[in-house]
Amino acid sequence: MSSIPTREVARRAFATEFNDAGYTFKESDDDRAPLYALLPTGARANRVFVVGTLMETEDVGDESEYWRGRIVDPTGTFFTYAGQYQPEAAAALRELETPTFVAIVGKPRTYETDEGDVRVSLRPESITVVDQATRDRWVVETAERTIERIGAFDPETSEYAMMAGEQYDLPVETYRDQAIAALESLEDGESAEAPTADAAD
Amino acid sequence: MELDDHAEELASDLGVDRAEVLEDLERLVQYSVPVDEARSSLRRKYGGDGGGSEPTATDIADVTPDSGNVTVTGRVLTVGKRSIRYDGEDQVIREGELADGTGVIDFTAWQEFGLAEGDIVRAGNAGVREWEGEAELNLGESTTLAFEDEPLDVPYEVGGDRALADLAPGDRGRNVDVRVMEVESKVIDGRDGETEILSGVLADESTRLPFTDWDPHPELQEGGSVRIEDVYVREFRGVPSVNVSEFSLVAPLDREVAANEEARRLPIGEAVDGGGAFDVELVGNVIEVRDGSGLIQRCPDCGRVVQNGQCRSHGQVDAEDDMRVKAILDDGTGTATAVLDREMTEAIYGGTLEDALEAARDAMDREVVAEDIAADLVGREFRVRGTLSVDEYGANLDATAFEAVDDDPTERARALLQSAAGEPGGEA
Repeated sequence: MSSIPTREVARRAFATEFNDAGYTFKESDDDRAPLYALLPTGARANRVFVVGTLMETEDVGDESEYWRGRIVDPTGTFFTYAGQYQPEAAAALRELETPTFVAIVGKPRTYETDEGDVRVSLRPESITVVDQATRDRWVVETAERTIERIGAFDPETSEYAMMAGEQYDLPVETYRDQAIAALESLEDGESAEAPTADAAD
Repeated sequence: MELDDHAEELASDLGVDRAEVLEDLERLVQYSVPVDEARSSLRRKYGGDGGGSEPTATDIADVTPDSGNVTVTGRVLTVGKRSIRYDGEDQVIREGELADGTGVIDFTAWQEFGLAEGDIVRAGNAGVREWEGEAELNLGESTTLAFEDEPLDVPYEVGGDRALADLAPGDRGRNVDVRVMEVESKVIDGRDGETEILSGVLADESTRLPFTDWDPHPELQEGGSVRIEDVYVREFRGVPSVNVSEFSLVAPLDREVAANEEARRLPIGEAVDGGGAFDVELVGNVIEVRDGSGLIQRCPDCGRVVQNGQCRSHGQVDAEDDMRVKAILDDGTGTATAVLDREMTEAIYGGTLEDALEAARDAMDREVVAEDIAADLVGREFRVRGTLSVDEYGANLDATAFEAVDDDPTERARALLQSAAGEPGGEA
């Protein structure tokens, strides 16, 4: 039934996979058609849900405020940017003390650097403070979803797996290994220790 | 061949009255219609088939909505009675399933053939129509129905006994052994004016489902264990609902049916794709608190949420304050809106409606209440129990319980590592 209003599901992906999702596309010519980032494990993501440690915030704007936040998970760093069109998220980045655990709902956005590299960032719809148990559960859930996507990764049957094969030359096993390592970090009780943030900027 | 013989053959093939066919044939021949043409014409008239000969025997698996008329031989798996109103007339029809070695097909019998479960029948010249994308047999006055003595083994269960969890919308002639969990009497404005009906909830070992009894049976008492024969299943807002009718037999059981009190736990994507579910448990993160949460106002007459005291049905009203939450719950597989009532909302807010109204007055902004609630919910993981409906309003979970998830993430990580190690390509 096409009359059922649908809402884009919020994908769960670790930072390394998210940052590799540099290819974006639309599925119709409509101006208002949703924009998707292609996850290398073979899923489209219009929205993502991330929980991690907010490490640093900085106002990188020229004339008006434009806040950048660095959020780390067990695999790497998410970058989020909020300006005048995301006033609540910008206010959160301005006011939050770091480090702190945050949950971010947002949309993947890409931009190309002068060197021609594609960077993926997160345009936040909301940023809220959460506790460590919520962060740890996110790690488990994200590992589970990632492993599920890899299990279903078959270019013969999945349109997005085929697209990932065409757009990226990235072995999906890498993401599986990272998901396993993330789970092991919880099991070893290292969950409170955030890894060193990437140098990528 | 004499006209009489033609009439005899046609009447037998088409299952119609011989005298009537003969009369038709004679009239056509009087108008100089060749006999063969006349025969085809009558086959079309009575059979709707358009072909020149009786349909040949067809395997049930090969019947498609485009099959026209078919002749099939099969075993009656189930049969149920139902009264429908067609062109202003009440008509009792029989519905059920017929199977042969190749497949199962639903049938509707428009007249009383005396079908019973387990019967082996040959339905000659049965009509085929499409119902919800599937082929269905119509057994009517042009169908010749013969009971066969040859045994026919079919790889399907004969009889309508089912567990509640196995019922699906469209099922007919089902029998259930259940405990009545809730029952109330209602007066509705039906097609024959005011009618008393019963509605409530049934349970067995497998699950719980809502029911409606259109012809109140006194045996349906709260807490009672009963066998109900010949129920049909309809979908109401995406949830299967058991319908008890005047043809249903309700008999008390001398044992107590164990009632499943647990809600089924489903991934959100699966629950939404399934078109809705009664009493499910969904677990996900609240990723947004939607507009229309916190302090709201309702019409005192119809209970609808009103904006600026303006009700869609009742115009300007003296609106009543209330509280609710519409929280978007998302587990990465799908998304649904959990709708929480005033009691649950007050518990989350940590204050009563009066407290919330006071906070809004102090801030001179009613939105502060929703903002407070959002700050408590967004990002966290919750377990929500309720009934999921999927319709033009989207996927909504009418919540009966809402609680924060507090499982130990380390345990979950360990379980997942174990299952991941067991898979091919898993950790060495």
